[in-house]
Amino acid sequence: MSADRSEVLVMREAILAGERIAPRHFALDEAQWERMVHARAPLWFLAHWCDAGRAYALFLDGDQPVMASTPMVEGRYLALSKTVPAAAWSERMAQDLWDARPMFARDVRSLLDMGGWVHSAPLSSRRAPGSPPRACCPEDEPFGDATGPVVLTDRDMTFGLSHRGLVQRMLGLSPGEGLRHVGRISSGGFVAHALAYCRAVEAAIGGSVPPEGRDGRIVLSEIERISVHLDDLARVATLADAGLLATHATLARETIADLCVRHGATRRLTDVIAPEGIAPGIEVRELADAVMELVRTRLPDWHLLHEGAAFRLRHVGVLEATRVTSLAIGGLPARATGRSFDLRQREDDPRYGAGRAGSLTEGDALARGRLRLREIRDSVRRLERVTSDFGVSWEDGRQRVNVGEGIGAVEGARGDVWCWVRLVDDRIDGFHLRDGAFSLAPALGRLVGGADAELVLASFGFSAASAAG
Amino acid sequence: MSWLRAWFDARAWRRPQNWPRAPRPLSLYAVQAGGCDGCAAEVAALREGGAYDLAPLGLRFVATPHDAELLVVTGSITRASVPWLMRWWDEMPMPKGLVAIGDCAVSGGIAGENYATLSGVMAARLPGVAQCDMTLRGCPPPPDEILRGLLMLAAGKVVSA
Repeated sequence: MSADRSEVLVMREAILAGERIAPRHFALDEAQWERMVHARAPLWFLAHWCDAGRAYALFLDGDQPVMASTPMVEGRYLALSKTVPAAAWSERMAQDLWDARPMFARDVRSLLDMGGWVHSAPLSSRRAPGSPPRACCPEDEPFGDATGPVVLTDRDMTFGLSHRGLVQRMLGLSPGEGLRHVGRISSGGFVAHALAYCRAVEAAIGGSVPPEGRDGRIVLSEIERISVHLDDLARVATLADAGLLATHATLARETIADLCVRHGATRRLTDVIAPEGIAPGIEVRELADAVMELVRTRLPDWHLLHEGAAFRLRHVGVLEATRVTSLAIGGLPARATGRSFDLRQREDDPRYGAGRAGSLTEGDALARGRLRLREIRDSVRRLERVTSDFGVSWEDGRQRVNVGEGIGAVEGARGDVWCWVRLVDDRIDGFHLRDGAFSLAPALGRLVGGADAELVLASFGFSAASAAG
Repeated sequence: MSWLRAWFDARAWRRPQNWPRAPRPLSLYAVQAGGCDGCAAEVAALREGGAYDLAPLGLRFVATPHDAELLVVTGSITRASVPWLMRWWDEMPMPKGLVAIGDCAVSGGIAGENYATLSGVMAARLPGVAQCDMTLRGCPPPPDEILRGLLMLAAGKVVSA
């Protein structure tokens, strides 16, 4: 298989040449898929997955997602990683779950299947009895108190110990039943994952939420961002022996958890996103006011204490800009390395201001910590804007039709979350969720060797559960 | 001056400690077998950052299973993690006990039993374990409840809540 160089298209054209089967989804035949793989000017890679009969790839076209899919022939398809290195780990996952066989793939090692599964390729019709669990080797001992168990082997960090079979559990459920599963992927995204999923379902069925529900979701998203950033700051501070910062961040985090309970939500914001907006009984504006007051009071101290730990965090876990580009990394780790992308910029909310957090370029643990504090400040500003204009409606001009499948996206505290859902007879027929941790993971193997491994992982806010599904 | 104020603020904002001291000290080794990090985060809130002062209560989280009396398990029990749970359990000195925190560790939780997960830590069949010494349901249970359960366990009670 090789493309005639004289006919090489840019990737966007190669995708749009396919048959449009949903507003942002183009079905390509084998030859069109090959032209896409070899196309010039590749789009920003977001996600890649398979199901029983097709391979899918999701890219960013400007600020909009665009998706391509192609039928697999006896489980085979041309590997995307041949020209898009960032797709390599997705292909490893597709092999483990679906027995998909990407031809000319860069890496065919197992990613999720670490032995012990009842079946190998459990989502495939060709599934076979699983292999026995791997024996315990001291050099493979899992670590990651804060991140969930990860294993580092030959500078390759894997997270299969955390895989819980999310896709298998989702298939066949109603959209409402699926929400609870998606809302338990990871504590760093109890709101973000559920919201991305709800947006995907709403795109699929042509639904929308009332303005109060829309704004309630924004408020809870920003409170989750503040809480998760505080969690990550506390963990990093603990590992960096910055005890006073750890105490301040932990106490603030616990106070926000108490405020959530006092105002009708749950401590960790589980089950607060609902199909109609947010769960009933949450005093969302009062909650936002209480959180804003808390953060305004204490933020100056957090800045002071964080700068006091700067000597311990500088040059720790430096993520290079070239890795951000080659692995298509997003979220706060990328913004601390110079990429300015933030999915909130493309949300349907004219009140959104880009804030002043911006991006930093150092790419180390110190930059990530500083950016967390700036983003906490900007979250308070966004809460101010939304609560002062809560529930206002506007015409967004979008056509809402039931097309059977949809894509939802959210800028979570730990990165961009993308969710694709296909519904057939009001049941989930296809599902994929890509957390920012999945894009980040391939970069971490080279960074987490040595005594600072836990500190490096914590500084990225990495979650094995988010990546493993 | 600002540092001093920050120190006093941390003291002032700390939660009041109204917990009774454990009748006997307990050393705990916490592991996350899989799961969503929710229960692990609540255990971390208990042991790190100073929101709770465990040392005066007689509770101590330790860094290795060799120093632990109790294995505190959170999260879904993934089948791939079972050999490591076995190993850590084997490395603990006798007498030792098992604590399951949260719905997933107690009975499988939302993931239940599937190709990758078991229906709770008892399904891992750790040698010599007939029952957990403490099971605490919740998704996730808050740190206050975890602490209350551990103090009851230290008082010699089998905790199932």
